[in-house]
Amino acid sequence: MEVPRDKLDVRDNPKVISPPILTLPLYGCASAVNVTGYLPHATLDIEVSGAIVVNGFPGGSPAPFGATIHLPNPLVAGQKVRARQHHAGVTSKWTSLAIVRDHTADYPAGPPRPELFPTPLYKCGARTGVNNLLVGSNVWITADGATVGAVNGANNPQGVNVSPHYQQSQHVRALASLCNDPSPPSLEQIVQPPPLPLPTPGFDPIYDGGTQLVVNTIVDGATFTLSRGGVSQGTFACWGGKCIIGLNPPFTAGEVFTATQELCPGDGPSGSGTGTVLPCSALPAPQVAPVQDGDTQVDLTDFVWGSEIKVFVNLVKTGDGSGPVVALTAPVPHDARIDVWQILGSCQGQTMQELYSHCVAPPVDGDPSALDLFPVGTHEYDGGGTDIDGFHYNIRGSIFYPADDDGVDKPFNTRLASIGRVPIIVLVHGAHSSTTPSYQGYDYFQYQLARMGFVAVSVDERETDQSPDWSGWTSNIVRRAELAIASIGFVQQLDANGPLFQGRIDFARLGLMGHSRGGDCVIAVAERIALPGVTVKAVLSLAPVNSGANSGKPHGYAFMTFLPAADGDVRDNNGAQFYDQAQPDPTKTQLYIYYANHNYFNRQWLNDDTGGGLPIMSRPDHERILSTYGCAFFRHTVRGDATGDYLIGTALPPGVQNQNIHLSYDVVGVRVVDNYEGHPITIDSEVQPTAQSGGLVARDFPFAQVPGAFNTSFFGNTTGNVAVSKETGGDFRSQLSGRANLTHAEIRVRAAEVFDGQNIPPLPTSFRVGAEDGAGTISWVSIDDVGGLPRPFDRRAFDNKTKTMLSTFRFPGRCFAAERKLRIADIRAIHLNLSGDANRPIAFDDLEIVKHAKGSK
Amino acid sequence: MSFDTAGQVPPRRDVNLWHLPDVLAVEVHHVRFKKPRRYTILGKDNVVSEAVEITIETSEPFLIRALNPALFVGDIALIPTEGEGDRRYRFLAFQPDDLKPGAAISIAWNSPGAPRKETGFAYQPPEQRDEER
Repeated sequence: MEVPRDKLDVRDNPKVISPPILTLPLYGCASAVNVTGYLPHATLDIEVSGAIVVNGFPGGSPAPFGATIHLPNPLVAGQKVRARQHHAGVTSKWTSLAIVRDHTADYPAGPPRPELFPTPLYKCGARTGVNNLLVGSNVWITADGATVGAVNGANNPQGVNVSPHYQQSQHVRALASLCNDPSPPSLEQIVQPPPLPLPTPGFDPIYDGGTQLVVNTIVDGATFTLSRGGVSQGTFACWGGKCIIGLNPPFTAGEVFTATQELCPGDGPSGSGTGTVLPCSALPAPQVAPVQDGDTQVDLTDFVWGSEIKVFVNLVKTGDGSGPVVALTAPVPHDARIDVWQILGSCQGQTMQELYSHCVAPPVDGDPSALDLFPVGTHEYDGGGTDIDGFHYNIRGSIFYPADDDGVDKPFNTRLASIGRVPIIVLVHGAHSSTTPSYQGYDYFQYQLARMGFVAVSVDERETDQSPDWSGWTSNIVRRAELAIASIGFVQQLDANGPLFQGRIDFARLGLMGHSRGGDCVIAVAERIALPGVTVKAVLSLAPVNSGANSGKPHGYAFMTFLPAADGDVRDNNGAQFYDQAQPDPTKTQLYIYYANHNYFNRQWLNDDTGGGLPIMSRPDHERILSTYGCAFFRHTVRGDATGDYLIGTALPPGVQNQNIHLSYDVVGVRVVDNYEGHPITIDSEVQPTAQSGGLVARDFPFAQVPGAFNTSFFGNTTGNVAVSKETGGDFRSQLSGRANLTHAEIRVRAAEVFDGQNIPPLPTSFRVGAEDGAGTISWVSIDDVGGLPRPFDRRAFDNKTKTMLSTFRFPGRCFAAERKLRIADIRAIHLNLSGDANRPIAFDDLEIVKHAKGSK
Repeated sequence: MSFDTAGQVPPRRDVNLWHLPDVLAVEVHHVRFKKPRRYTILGKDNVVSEAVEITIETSEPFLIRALNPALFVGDIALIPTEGEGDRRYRFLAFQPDDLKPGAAISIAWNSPGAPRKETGFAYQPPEQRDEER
């Protein structure tokens, strides 16, 4: 919410400035470091192992990617580095010490491959962006094998000027090295003819008092000429898209800037774009990402590049820096009021962005699908025939794998192979027209998995889609499983003696992903596979049916399922049955995804299975969910990468419609207070008494499509507690068998607003969780402070499958500790208190106490 | 300058996943399998050597999708099994005594609450025993 600055009694203490942000990680041999988040025109110090090696570096503008500061000597692994800023006579605290790492510990097969961007590249292009670099490495660009640009001690991303300019049809690649350790080459780009006529450049809003402006709509590699009041300010090369330029003196309202762009001189310039400086009164407040109690930084989602950002916590200045991330001088306390103010040169924003911190507001973290280490090779296999139940099948499919270069049947990546075998992920499509190449529909996911070091196989099961076979239902899905196993067996042969894969694949680290009938099938694969050396570590079951082809109880591996809430085919979301019955070995995760349909995760399945009957996210939004959550899942559970936070909701992936995703999750080894299974509602799973008070009535019900369910809106396969209260504040108390210490632990519970089968009230309902100590003191945390209870996904206009689908909520102990009298190490009972409107039932399940993993968020 | 005459593109038709074909014929046989037939329940494979088999012939193929067609005799759902061609679908009953003579035969998609379509045929126990397949 934007609030007028003059209405706020904030104390702008000029002595408080944020420490800057040192871009991490740091690696040995880096000849530069990158610093962001500092105040415009601050000076910066860099200290290495106790000695200030750079003193008073002029930071200039922090936009857009901070300051790349070259060091007198390259870094050495084990050194400790920190940074600070000076501004207007004030010196910030140092950043936390960062220990320089050996890059081969994180990248044993060499630095990641650079990425050229934006693409395509154009004839006469004068500058190119390169991404996916280790800060401080050296980067260079080749055209037809000749170096045409280079930067030593690069930032990430890094712009590289190109000379001579690109010529049409040149083959361009970027390469990088650190410690003389070369990266693989980037994906090759072939220079294209200029996109004539070139578009007219535009300007992002320019404000009175600013000294930087952003010219947009620049074609990749073009140069643009900028004029101010008709006076040329120079010609600049830009990698494309947006380009930021600093000018002096500061802008004044009504001033006019113009720009033209040009690629090849003979083609002439574009039309002239115009930008007029807006008055200071138009400067908006910045946009701020949700803040979680305990945060030590504030993330901005929209701000004016190059502006100063001041942060006030409970009206006290706690940060002063620049976007997109401002470090704070103290952690955000519980339920804090946060005001964020934007200042641009002499122009002070007239409004502030105000928000309140929440007990749980997980940060948007790095992209788990973006790890780009290797070129990707592809191979179509044909393993001959096999007969199952009298049907004859060809053992076919596609393999994407880390390679020495991109392309068909390229050699397996030599350096990766020298380190050891790599894990394998096998994908199985579902039923669709047998003329549709369904197995090719996950090529985007295969590509992502391969470039990060997995072998990704997609099995061609089209022959099981022919009508006589398909109509066998359970038997058909069993045959699909056996055909997938036959493919895995054939890939084992390729690993035993094939030219590309000999000795390359680790079948003891195998993950499975199946979609639709394939989602049922892969659970059957895990239960049936008996090939020597195969261990299934993870199964992702995407919009599965549940035919009885497997036990219905996933076990012995990590499990994940996607439930598209707008599934027009598997409209019962049968994956919920698998989730409910799955053992967390060691984790299980369910994504209930609003506005997702059945088909759009597969690029070959073109029709919207709801037939337009429900609002649907775009196809790229579907794919992005599979990419991010699928990669996080397989990386963590099959390879041990640090991407587990996405599986338990403590981090969110970027570029995803996270507001549409409702997670359930469970992990092995938690303390189950009550799962409402196998005992009356009067006791809990610790065989301790429960109590109902304040007009609340709670009973156990099947959460399933069976007689005796609370109503027909439950679609899983478990039992749970449906509580309803005649009055606000009805309470359900579960006593613990022994004290719980919530100092480094949290309470988790699954919950959902119950859909009554007919109506969805206009306002949500709520509940709160109470932690009661041995002295009877109760501290309460509202569901609204940990994310809020989602509204049911409304399918009433389409069918009668609007569901009561539970999600997991985390109530960290630190949130209860706000009640100072509470003895947080002596919790004796947990309360579920219906704090919303009376007579609004809420479904609960899996009340647990979970210790925090070391370093968890 | 030449002008294209602009061929009209037919409007995209959304697929109705819930469409059911008409059932044109129903055959009921008691079959004995030369090679025992595999069927799976909750992941466990079983074999059956004989069963009552109901074969339906439809006006058009069922749409290939995630769910399967279901066949009901009265309210008893039969086990779907492999079909023949693209308009003959087979369903098995392992306990044929549960099927009531005269009970209406209907089809649906196998999702709870999915609408059933009456076929106009009623179940009659097979007269001829032991068709071998």
